[in-house]
Amino acid sequence: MLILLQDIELSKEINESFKQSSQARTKLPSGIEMSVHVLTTGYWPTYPPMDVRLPHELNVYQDIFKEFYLSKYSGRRLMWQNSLGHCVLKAEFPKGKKELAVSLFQTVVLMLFNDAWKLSFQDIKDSTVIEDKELRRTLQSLACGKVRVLQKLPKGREVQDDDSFMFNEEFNAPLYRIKVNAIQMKETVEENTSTTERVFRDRQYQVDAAIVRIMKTRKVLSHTLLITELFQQLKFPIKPADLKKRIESLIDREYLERDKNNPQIYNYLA
Amino acid sequence: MRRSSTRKTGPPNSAASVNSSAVDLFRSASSKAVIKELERIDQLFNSYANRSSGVIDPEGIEALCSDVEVEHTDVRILMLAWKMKAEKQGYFTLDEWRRGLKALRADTINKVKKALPELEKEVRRPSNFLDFYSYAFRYCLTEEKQKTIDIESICLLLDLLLGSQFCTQVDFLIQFLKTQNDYKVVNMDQWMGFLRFCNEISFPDLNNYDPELAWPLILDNFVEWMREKQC
Repeated sequence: MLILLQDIELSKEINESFKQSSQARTKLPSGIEMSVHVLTTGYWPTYPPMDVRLPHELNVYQDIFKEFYLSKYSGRRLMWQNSLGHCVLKAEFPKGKKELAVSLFQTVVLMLFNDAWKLSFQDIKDSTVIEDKELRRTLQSLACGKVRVLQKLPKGREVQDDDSFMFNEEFNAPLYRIKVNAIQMKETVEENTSTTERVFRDRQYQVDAAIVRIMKTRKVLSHTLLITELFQQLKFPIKPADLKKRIESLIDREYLERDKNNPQIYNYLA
Repeated sequence: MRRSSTRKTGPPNSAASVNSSAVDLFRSASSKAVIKELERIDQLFNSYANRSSGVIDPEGIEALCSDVEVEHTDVRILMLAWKMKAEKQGYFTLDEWRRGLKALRADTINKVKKALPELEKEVRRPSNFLDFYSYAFRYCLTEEKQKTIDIESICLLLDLLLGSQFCTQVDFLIQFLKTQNDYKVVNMDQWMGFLRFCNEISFPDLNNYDPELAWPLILDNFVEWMREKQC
């Protein structure tokens, strides 16, 4: 937890000194502001790296920041988590100026429409190199959601291979600043099992900790009583067989032993 | 005090001290016999030991087995190792050899051979068998820090140790161990559970088996597997 807070504090400082730095003052493209969170790998949740071809301006920005950062902390490795980026874009629609709060992927797609009026799905895919599923979701959020800054041709909920997208000239909204929600990813089967696994693993630690806690106070306890206490302490449903598995693992790791004279009794090994 | 020191250092007849008595004479006579016995035990050791390493190695054990006319995979050889408290599989050191053969009162190969049936009876006594059974597991741990034994070896060991006494249990248990995929190795706790299971659970009806009790999970699975087979 401490590391997480530290990362945020440090990031603020880094951004400040970046703004003051000579690199930033001389080389940065104008009209863009950027703030970076530098997070320590291993302490934060991991995200699969996602490829994206950034518009030139953003790329320059990233490169200069990287150069600055590595001159300050040499030997480190910076990895951009593109899927976590978000931006505020200024957009001029015929019916009024707006500010759009969007994700980095949405940004990359929208910025293509600075130079084009209509693009095919394949065009967008080729220029952004966003992963297929992710791109479909991104386009869906821009053209089929609540806030439709793009128009999809033909209309429809799902993004097909031969769909085209157009800048929505009719776009209008009562507010000046609009958030375009990203479409929540539906959990895939693999993700679901990996989540379940992760939850199970996290719970294992909790079970282990509970067993050790109980045994540490009781020193000697029968299997049945230990199981009863565990059911009282653990806040999630768990099968007795899983508890046994954890007890046996703790025996293996010599936290506990089965009593030599009474196999129904466990002894705590300090 | 003095007596013990003379007995350790010099020959027994040098203990010609003031309190020399009939008891002492008897003792020295019997200790003479003991020494003779020890000498013969050592001689026997040397006839099997590897000259360069000074221990009986697998080759020596093979020769010993053929002299006492049992297979080296026979459970009685394991019992012999247990009696010697042999630590390393396939090897007997001089100390272990002396410990075992003295306890068996055997100083010739013939006596060793004759002692085996008696040894087997001794091991099969419940009070000894538990110790022997756990010894057998430890004896199979050949690597440093090894704590588990692979399923295949466990099956052989089960058959060797319990096969004669709990033939049906062992057959099913081996069949189960070879078909399940959850466990690739067995640890000491599970191993001890197998013996307890054979001793306590009525088989094959399994009526008194209660998975709520502290049976290792592998046995819960075994019982479930048995019950599925039965219906």
